[in-house]
Amino acid sequence: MGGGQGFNNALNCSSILNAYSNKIELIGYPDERWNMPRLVFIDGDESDPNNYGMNHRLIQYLAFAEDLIRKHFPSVDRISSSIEYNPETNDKWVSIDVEVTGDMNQVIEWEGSFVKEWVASVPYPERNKIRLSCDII
Amino acid sequence: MNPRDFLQIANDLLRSDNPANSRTVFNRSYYAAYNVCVDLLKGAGFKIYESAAGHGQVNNYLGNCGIRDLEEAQMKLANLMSQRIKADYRMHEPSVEKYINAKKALKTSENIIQIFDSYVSNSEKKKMAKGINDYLKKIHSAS
Repeated sequence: MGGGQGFNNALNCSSILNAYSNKIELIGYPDERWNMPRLVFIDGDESDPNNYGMNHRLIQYLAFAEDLIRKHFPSVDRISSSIEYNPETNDKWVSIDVEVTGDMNQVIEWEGSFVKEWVASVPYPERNKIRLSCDII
Repeated sequence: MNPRDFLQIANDLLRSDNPANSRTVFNRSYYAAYNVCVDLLKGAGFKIYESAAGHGQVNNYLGNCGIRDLEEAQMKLANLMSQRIKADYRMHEPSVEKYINAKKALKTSENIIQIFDSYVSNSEKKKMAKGINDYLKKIHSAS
């Protein structure tokens, strides 16, 4: 897997479900480093012997994330998404990239209200597998 | 070293508006907040890996501590981490080169640290540790 370029096919959020439906189903396995469950994308670490299948219902939360973004960011200009990848740890997540206009402090406030409702509504670890990247344009 | 010193470095970098400085502000902002969180967790008695594995560990512990403020701080930290990856590895990504977005990352880091700092008293750390230990027990009994 070579960095993020292969994963960074920016998509319109409305097409996330179709485009990634065969990629973002999650499975959990105990991580030997600290003996805790961990989630990976099913196409992510296929050689890991610890993997065992379990669906963690990520897809429904992508649509919810888009709804929440439109609720909390009144000046949203564009929403897209990509699968982001940390080359230091091999972790992956869906990055929802939001472009907004507005004053910086106002945008930080919107982010805060989004996170508040997101954390209150979406269980861990699913919520940690969908991350907001909000850019002021 | 006090990880909050990274905030000053990030501030200094913002004196000049150029892509490399902006990208580095994202990096220093993330690591300031991350390492303050590591200190908080270590202070509550948890062993945190001093390697890349520590990032996932911090997410798992804080994201399941049962204290809403800290769970929100974890999510903000994870979002900041996602942007840090873009800043450090995605050289085609222009958004992390913009001054205003770097400044926002620094402000976000300061806000996250402020939340962590409000949990440094022994009583607050005990509450956090109990929440994390309850989670670990659940995990261990399920595995």
